[in-house]
Amino acid sequence: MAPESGKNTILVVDDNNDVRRLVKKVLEIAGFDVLEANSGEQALEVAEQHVPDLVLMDIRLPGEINGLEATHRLKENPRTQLVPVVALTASVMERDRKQAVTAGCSGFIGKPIDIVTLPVMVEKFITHGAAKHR
Amino acid sequence: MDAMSLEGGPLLSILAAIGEGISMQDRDLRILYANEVYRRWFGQDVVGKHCWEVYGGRDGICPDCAVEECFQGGEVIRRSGAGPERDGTSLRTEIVAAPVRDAQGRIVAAIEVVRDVSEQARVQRELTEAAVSISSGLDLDEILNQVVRHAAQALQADAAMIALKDEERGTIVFPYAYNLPEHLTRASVGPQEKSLAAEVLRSGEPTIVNDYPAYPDRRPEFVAAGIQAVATVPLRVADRGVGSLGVMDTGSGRRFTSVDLELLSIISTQAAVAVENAHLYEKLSRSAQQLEQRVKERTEALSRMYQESERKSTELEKANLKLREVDRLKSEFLANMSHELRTPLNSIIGFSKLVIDGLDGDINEEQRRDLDIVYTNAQELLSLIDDLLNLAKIEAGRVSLYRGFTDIGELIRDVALRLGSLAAEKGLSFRVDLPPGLRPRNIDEAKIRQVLINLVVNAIKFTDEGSLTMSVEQTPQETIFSVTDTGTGMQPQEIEKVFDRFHQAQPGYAEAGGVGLGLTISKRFVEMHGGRIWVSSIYGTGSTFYFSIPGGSMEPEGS
Repeated sequence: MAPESGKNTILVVDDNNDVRRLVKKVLEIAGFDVLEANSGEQALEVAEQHVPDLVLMDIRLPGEINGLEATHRLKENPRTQLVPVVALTASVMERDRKQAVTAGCSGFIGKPIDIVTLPVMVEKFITHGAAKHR
Repeated sequence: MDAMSLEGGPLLSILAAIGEGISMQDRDLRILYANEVYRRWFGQDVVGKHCWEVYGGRDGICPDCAVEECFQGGEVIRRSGAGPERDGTSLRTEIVAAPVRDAQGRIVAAIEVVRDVSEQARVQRELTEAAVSISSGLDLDEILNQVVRHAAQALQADAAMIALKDEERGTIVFPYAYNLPEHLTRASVGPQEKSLAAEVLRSGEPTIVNDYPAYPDRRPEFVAAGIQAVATVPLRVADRGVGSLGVMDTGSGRRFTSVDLELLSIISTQAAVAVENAHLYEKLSRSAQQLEQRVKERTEALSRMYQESERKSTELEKANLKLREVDRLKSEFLANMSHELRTPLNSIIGFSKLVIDGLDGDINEEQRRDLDIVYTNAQELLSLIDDLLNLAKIEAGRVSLYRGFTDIGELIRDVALRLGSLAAEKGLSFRVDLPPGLRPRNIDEAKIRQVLINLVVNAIKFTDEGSLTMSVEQTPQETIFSVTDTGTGMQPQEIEKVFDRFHQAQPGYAEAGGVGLGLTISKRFVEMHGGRIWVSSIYGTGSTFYFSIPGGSMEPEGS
């Protein structure tokens, strides 16, 4: 699963172009490789193809497959089931957070994104996930 | 002394004329003399007989014989008893026996005086009967009907009648009559008219009119009813003349005497007492009826209220359902709004910070400062949105605690780490004061963290120089957090309101940014934990905000 470049690869799933652009910028500056998807369907495709080190998943996604469903499918797919999924959500409702955990998310990063802490948290989740599955 | 020697003397003439039966008997109880009345009662041939023969006794025994007792004791003996029969009934008699002594003081004979008290006894009986039946009644009509009947019977009059003053009209009416034509009970005497009843009522004197048809103030309807003679006494109830009681002769030839007035007065007094009782009783029973009526009305009112409240509660239930639906919609709306508002804020905050931090390349100081304003205000807006959403949720009862054992020290240090830079930006020193050996407590870490952040951010806002201190203390029963600043402090009236919703700090504070909803939310969160929040402050010196959470150093961690 180790990327060829030695950099960790992050898949950012969000239908909002601004969010993707911001996260991509911040993470790339912090030294990550960043893949993008703007829907659940696209996220599953990209993840299947590249198997990233972490998925940052927006929960409210348009279309058939929302963030929860996409997470659920990633966790059912043997190829991607060990990839930690972190919910990227503006929702602070407990109910939404519970649902995210149930679907298989390892944690949350709330919106708006704090560009200082985002790379730190991403790093933490990757390390944690790796430790868990070692 | 013998009977013969008495014969023809003036004493005998007197004895003969007396209305009572008189006899003289010797020690053998033989009758030596009997006067006219005695002979009439006991027989013309009684002289020479023994008295027991006269009284119908047998074998020489006369029970309770007054004469015999008189011979034995030598004293005057009085007896009452049943006498000889007359008209099929035995007379009620009163007997007096007195000894007759000779010159030596020996009792040689006895005088027996027999008085017929049948009439007296009858009147007595009538009066007693009247008294009993009059005073035992509680219905006024019934009592007064009894009164007239008893008055007529006791006085052996043909008829009787009660006259009453009608206080409202000023007339006199005769509602109760015995043995009189019924139409008389509907008669009435006007206020200015004269009548015997009016006269008695006016004078208050018992009055006899033995020739009613010739009486100046006679009433033609009474004359027409055949009334010949009247004896009448006032009827006084509670010392107030209310009318009169009269007995009448309607052709028997009865003429009334002062004795009749006395008897009538007795009856009228009893009648008055009975009337008074009846009034009391009526009053009582009216009160009782009123009470009953009131109870009934109340009961009905209650039942109406109950029905009303049932109806209302159904309506309330419906309204409640509607409200709950509205509340659900409100929550949904808030959640959606929050999301919608956060998404653009996400970009504003993220990109402005990105540029400020120079990630897009160098910017000059002027640009940085302007962008800082964008960034800071976006942050403010964000926290306001968060607070609104949180408070709405708390007030809808939709917020619950997610407890977990939390390292208190780590929590404090984490908050300090997050906010240290904010304090440093204002040049404030930020101290954390943690005692050793703090026990982890079972709390909703996210909420307590938010409370701490709210308190520290407020402290930073209102402190321009000096320091902030976060500290924790564990008593055996509770854990007390505090945030102390060296800021402006608060006036006493300020302290009371500081946890109220949308509390506006005093005017000078506005430029420091509103207090917002942070303290209100903090208070709710602390109270959800079963704790309390308070503040002590000295104006011009600084404030310390405290909050406590149940569970201190003594409780086991599992509690």
